[in-house]
Amino acid sequence: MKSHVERLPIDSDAQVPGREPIRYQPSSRYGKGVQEKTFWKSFKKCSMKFGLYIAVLAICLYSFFPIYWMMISSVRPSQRLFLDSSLVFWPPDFSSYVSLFQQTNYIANFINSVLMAVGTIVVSIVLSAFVAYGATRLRFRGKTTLVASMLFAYMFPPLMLAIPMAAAFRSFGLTDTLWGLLIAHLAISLPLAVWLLWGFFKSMPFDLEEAAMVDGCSQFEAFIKVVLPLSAPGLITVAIFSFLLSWADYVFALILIMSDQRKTLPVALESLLGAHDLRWGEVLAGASLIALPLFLIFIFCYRYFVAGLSAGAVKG
Amino acid sequence: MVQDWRIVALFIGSIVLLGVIIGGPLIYAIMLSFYSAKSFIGELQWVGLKNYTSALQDPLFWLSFTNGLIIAISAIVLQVVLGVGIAMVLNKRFLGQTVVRAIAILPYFLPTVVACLIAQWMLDPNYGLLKSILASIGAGMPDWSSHAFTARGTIVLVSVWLWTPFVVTCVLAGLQTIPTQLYEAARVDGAGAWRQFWHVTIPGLRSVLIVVILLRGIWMFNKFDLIWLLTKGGPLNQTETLPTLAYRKSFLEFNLGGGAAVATISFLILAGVILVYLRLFPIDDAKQGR
Amino acid sequence: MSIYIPGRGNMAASLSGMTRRNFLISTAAIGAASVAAPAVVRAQSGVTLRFLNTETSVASQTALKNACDEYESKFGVKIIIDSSPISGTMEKAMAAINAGQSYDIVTSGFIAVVLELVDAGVLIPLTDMVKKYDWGKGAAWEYEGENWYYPFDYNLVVNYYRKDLYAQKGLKIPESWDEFVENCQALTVLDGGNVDVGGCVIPLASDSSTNWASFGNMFAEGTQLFDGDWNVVLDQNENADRAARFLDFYAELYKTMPPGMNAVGYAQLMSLFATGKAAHTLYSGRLVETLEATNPELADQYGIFASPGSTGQKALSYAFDGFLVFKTKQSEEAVKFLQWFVDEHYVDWLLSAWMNNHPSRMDIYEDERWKSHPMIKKHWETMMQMKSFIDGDGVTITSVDTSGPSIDVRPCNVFNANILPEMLQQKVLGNRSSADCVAAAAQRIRSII
Repeated sequence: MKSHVERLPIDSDAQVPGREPIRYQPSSRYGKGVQEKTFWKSFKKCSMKFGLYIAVLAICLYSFFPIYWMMISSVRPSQRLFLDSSLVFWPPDFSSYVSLFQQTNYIANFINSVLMAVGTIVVSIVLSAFVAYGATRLRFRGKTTLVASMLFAYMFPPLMLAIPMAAAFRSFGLTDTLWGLLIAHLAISLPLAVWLLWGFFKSMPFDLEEAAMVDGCSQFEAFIKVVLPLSAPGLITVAIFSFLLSWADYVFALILIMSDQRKTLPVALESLLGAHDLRWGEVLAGASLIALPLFLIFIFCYRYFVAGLSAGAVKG
Repeated sequence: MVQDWRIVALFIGSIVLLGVIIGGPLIYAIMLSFYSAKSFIGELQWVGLKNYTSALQDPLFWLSFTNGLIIAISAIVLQVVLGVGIAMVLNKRFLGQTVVRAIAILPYFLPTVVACLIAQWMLDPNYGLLKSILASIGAGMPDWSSHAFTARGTIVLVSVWLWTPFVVTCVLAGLQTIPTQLYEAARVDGAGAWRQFWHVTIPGLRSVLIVVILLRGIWMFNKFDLIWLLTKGGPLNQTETLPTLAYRKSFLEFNLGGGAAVATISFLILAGVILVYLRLFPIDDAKQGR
Repeated sequence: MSIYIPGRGNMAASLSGMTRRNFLISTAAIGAASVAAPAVVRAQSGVTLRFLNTETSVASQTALKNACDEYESKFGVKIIIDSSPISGTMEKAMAAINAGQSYDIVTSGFIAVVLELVDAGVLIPLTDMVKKYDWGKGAAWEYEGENWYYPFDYNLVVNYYRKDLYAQKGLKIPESWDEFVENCQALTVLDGGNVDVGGCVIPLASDSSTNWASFGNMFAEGTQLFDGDWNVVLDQNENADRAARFLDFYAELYKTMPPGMNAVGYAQLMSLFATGKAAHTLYSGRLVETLEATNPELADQYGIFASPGSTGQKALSYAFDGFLVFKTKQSEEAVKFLQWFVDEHYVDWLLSAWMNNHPSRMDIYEDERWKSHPMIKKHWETMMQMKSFIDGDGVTITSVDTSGPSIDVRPCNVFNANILPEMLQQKVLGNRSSADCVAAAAQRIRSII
């Protein structure tokens, strides 16, 4: 699927070369000669452009400044942290980061977070693909109800699912294990995953599989060889959403994980917050370090994210 | 159509697994709401609907309900309005469009914990950046956590910052699906930018907006972490919502049954609202476009 | 041990059974070997103890870890240490029990937490261990005839003031509410209608820190929550007057406090004072450590005093920190370890938070190693002043969770339900009359005990 980024923008005021729109001709009241009209038109165009760039700048500032402020604050020395509100700070001081590494098991927590994210992505994709495909291609009653029930699972305050989970895990020795947390993360990522993929598969014409099946494929093979590769943007979107939900979760990790060695990053950071002395330097350093991997992934996945989400939302 | 047994088996297997992972805890939590579990580790005692009646008689429950509505609705309205606005801007052609679009979506990738920390750090009434900025123009810093309006406003503000990008992404995609001819036709009819927006763009975005409002509505109404991290329900329970009340009952007052009852009622209310919503704006219908 | 196991019901059990089976099948199917649960570490003796530590400073964690490593090398018993912020101890300990992985030893700060755990039947008494030593006033309290934890400090909430600012303004240590209000007003720095430097900080958030810190002045006034028979008397006769007067006094002080009081917890109580944003604050000795670490100049400029009543009475609120041993199948090993720890490492442990760990075991005050710690030497005067508060009779030592005629779970419920912090909020955030606030608080106490 083509990302919309590559498409031509479609809007009334976008001036696309070679596609000058037919303008509504002004009535004689305004007709004061061609030259003035052109001037007026280019003035209007200029001011529109100007306004557009102001708006773009405002959007960038609004979206990025808070993140920038977090990062710049994390490299101020702790003595100046509370006093200094300059926009740039040089040279950066990494003592908050050093102290963060001394006080928390950042590396262990990071690995845990990554394991959870990877596990959630893999299992979510596999399970939701089977379910969503079945829900669009198999013939049985209540298909829509099934998918709608996915949404209903979201309507229960997620927090309240953690208690019964903790109880159930006890019976199976999953207490305080990453396996247990993985199940919890799946519970929050699967409904959305099914929902998104359902929209995707539904929009995919059955002819494609049929063609493959005519060529001698079984439906299963057609699913694996034709449908899945064609749904790559959808699968990637599911992966990104699963990653986000897992990486950002702190409610389940807080309740289901006890050992310091098995904590994930948000909980580890939250522990810093509740300590006797609030150390904004370390807290902001930790927050920046949680955000950084996200941004790296974001750079690589941005297009897929947009494309997949768009497809899901538009068709879903 | 011949149905491949492997597809059927995998489908059924996955559904069962999903049911267990999602449905199991859900059913258990609902079950818990009929029991009294005062202490976290006490005996479980059947009390019937007592948890429900006491929850519904509690003024705090109704306060939490209305707070939740106010916060969720204002957040959704702002997210949608701002989201559509930003998407309209980003849909135009300008230098560095791809980069700007990426930046505009960036906040969505931040974990809630991080976003709340940034907000607390910037809005700290004693050390925050906002205080310095306001001081430099001679204005006072509002004590936002002490007043209902500002506390709710801060929650709404942070959630708008964090989740508007979701709306932006969906709307940008939706804008691509509106046929250019519609705009051209409108222009021929003499419609200005504003009328084109109302008569072409908005109807064109209908299907996207239905889904976006639905999803954001569910998420906002159940929001716990953001509110808990920012205000803990204060001041004077003015930002208490049903999820925070459920948490408070279960984990701070050790009344698991009561917490589960609040969660279940909240679930029922939301489910009812969503059913009405889906009746008014059927998704299947939406999918067929305008 | 009778622990309620949620999910014991047939339906839940079969559902959960399915979870695991299908989980295994599915994981096998996808071959997701990428997620591996860390194997449980087992020491050679086969005994592994789990320790939940709420003293999260680097020094305290290091001291504990060193002791545990030494114990493992000597006795082959491994100790896994987890940490938790103090405000989350109860939740964490309960969650662990509920999940079938109870901690063996937990540090805890509040009687409210300890009694809740005793009543849940999950602690074992440490009476024999505690009885070996002399303890300061109130430290070795008994409940149902037993000692339930091994204390290591008093967390007295003392008033901190700035000696330099007092000298500058010619103020003296307040002996009454009026004097305290005057001092706070004199020290408040306004900036464009906002408080830039607060006169004082007395928290009001619904949090254990407020229960702990904010009611010294109220207790100094002799306000009682309960009478001798556990009737709620907060809104009756002289108590109603005292509590209402206290609220009026609090409302006056509130005007001098820096903004954001609704979000002030342990950390902010210290940081506001340490960064010069408040001229008074309330805290235990830990604030001195924080001053030494973050603003050494102020570490020579602070003084402490007890909370005054309206006409010269004195009181201090307090809590303890101590070790709890949970009822598990290895409780015996846990007690053995704890005994070894308090025999061999108690002083190291105390010195890891030298000023906060204000000893409640009286022999420590004679311990040469403790006395010769450079920081304790430096702040000896403060340490002795804190000791005099406990030794003498001039200062009432009490707290929300120890209110009433005896140690009991009822005031603990008041503490855990944040009823008194909400009384403060009703007064200054809700702008209700003091009498109304007191009556509402008393009503809520009746409804929960």
